[in-house]
Amino acid sequence: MQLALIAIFGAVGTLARYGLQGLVQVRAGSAFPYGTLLINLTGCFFLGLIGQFTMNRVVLPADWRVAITVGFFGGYTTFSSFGWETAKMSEDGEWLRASAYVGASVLAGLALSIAGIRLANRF
Amino acid sequence: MTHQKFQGERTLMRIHIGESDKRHGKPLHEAIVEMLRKEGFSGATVLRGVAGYGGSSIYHTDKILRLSQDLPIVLEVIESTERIEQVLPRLDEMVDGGLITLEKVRVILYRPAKK
Repeated sequence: MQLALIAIFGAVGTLARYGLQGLVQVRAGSAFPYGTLLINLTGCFFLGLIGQFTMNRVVLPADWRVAITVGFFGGYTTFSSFGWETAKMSEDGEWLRASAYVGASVLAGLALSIAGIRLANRF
Repeated sequence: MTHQKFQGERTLMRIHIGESDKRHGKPLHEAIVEMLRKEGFSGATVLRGVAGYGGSSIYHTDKILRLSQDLPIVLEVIESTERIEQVLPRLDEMVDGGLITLEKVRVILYRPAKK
């Protein structure tokens, strides 16, 4: 049941990202990734809002909460999970862990993107 | 629903289960509360933890969404020892994996809210 809900909500999240990202990027008519930026920012905000609301109040069965937070937002953008986890660490005063997580995700992620591109260019 | 005067030494029962535990498709904590209410228990409180682990040693926390799927649930029930012992066999049947503890408590106030 839970896996089926995650799969369905994940597919909906993916399609929502595909549609909104494409719409914004085409309308912006720019090489700057406005579409991805909008997806990442809206994902962070709405995951924070919906995730915290459904954790604070038992308004949804756990299966549905997980389907939305893990399924939908996982499909929409995993950047929202990154934002949630960093915010939760910061709330608990775990600044070192939060900084290490942000640093590793952004810097190491960027470095690995460059590494992947350069490796592909060798073939 | 009315209750007799409810003061003095009673037994506190704590039932530790997981948020995703089910009973006939319904959240287990809801099924237990409904059962206790039907049995005429004086009250029950359901609390959700932000983190923890149980017999499986799998860590659950609301900080990491992937690990937030089965957050800890604790039901607290205060009643006479006899009444609690009466429902223990039913709880044994309902709770698949979990922990139930009993301890003595002294009730100093129990009354419904004034309307």
